[in-house]
Amino acid sequence: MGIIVEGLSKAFGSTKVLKNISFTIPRGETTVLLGASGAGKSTLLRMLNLLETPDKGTMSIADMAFNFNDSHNSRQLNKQACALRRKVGMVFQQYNLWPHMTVLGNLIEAPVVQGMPKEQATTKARELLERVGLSEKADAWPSSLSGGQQQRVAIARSLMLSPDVLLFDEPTAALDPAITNQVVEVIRELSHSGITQVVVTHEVEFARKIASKVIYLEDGHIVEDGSSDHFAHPRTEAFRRYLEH
Amino acid sequence: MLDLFLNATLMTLGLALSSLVLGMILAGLLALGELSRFRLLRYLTISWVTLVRGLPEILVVFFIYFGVTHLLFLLTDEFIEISPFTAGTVALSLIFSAYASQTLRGAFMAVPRGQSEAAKALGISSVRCFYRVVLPQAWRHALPGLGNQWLVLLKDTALVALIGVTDLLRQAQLLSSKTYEPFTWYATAGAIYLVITLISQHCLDKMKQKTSQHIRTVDV
Ligand SMILES: Nc1ncnc2c1ncn2[C@@H]1O[C@H](COP(=O)(O)OP(=O)(O)OP(=O)(O)O)[C@@H](O)[C@H]1O
Ligand SMILES: [Mg+2]
Repeated sequence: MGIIVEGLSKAFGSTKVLKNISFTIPRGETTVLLGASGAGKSTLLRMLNLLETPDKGTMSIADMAFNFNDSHNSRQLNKQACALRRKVGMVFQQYNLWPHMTVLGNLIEAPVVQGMPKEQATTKARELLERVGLSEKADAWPSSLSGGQQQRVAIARSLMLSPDVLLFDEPTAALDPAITNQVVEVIRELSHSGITQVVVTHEVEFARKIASKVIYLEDGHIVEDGSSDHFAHPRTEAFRRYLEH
Repeated sequence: MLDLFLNATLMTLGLALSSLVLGMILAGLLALGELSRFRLLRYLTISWVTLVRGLPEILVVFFIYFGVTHLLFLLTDEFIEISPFTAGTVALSLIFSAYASQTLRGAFMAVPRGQSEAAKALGISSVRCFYRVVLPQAWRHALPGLGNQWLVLLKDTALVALIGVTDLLRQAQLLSSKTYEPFTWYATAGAIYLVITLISQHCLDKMKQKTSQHIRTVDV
């Protein structure tokens, strides 16, 4: 089971940002969320790990089900959100590494809080750093790394809890185009491991390289939703125009 | 003579350090109040800070020492004396906290939102996130400002001589009028203030180094 979202809506004050969104993402797919600025991509992504709470709809993700149609108790939801976030990792545009901890410290913080023995966390961290090609940087400070390296550390950090789903919000927007390929490689490698990935991006080229599925949003609606061959054969006029600009 | 000055130095240090501790606690509370979600609490805190910062320091000291004794008398009809040391500590920590709260508030706001969001996204609780992620970074931003305010506090302790605490300044005064050697005694007091300041400065530099070790330094 991957991600199933039905009738999700969200408003900030009086602006409706997401309107009745439904989609299904099978396990192991790498889905790209495209759309113009302000379309609601980040908001949608942040709902998938409950950094934003939907107003309405149902959501099933990482074997947890949520129903936002009934009135819900916010304490209860908070607890569930905490549990969910251990199975749904997130990677941010600005990396958001903690600058006062070493690379290794960044990686082991969450698993150690959650009860993993420190040695075990350290071993796992070193394996993951090797996987993203940064094994020699374990003891470096984040500020001494390049943007691409920092983003790969951030990806490794989010993999420490062995998530079922990994969310990316514009992971390459702060990077040099030449460095983007480092992130492409990591995402491709991860997609072979069976993890479900959802990637928000503005860069069509980057999207083509990683996507097995694409969702195109416009003004809070899903306009196009299909496999990666929609890049070559857009079904809607709107998506075709978006790809061309 | 020497032991008199030693006692006076300890008195000054005791005043300054206890005001620092109390003042830091108050400053933390005031900073939280100013960043609070509740508008009324925000306004009350801001007004309080504005009031304290708007008054001359000596007035705050007098007000706490004489004013509060009077107030207690009016309220309880009994004459309750508060010691000059206690009154001094309370007054100095009120003054310190009014300034330090501004430094703390700025320091907390200087930590980007993404820092705690990253912790949240990893299922880390907000309490844990506060003292593992936000506090260490805010501390680094706050340290230079707090260091300055500590040095100011150290010298403000001299105000308490006026309500009868035998601190460095008052001891120098007492000895001067007894021996008619004002230069010697005031210079001695000045030298001691200076030494304490230099030691503080040194400790602050050490702390600053420690909190900035992760910042890439550019050698010129
Ligand atoms: N916390 C918030 N409070 C109020 N409005 C918000 C908030 N977050 C987002 N919005 C609004 O919701 C709309 C969608 O925002 P969102 O960040 O999801 O867009 P996006 O598709 O990610 O855009 P971009 O490509 O610029 O990142 C925007 O109009 C934005 O102003
Ligand atoms: Mg966005």
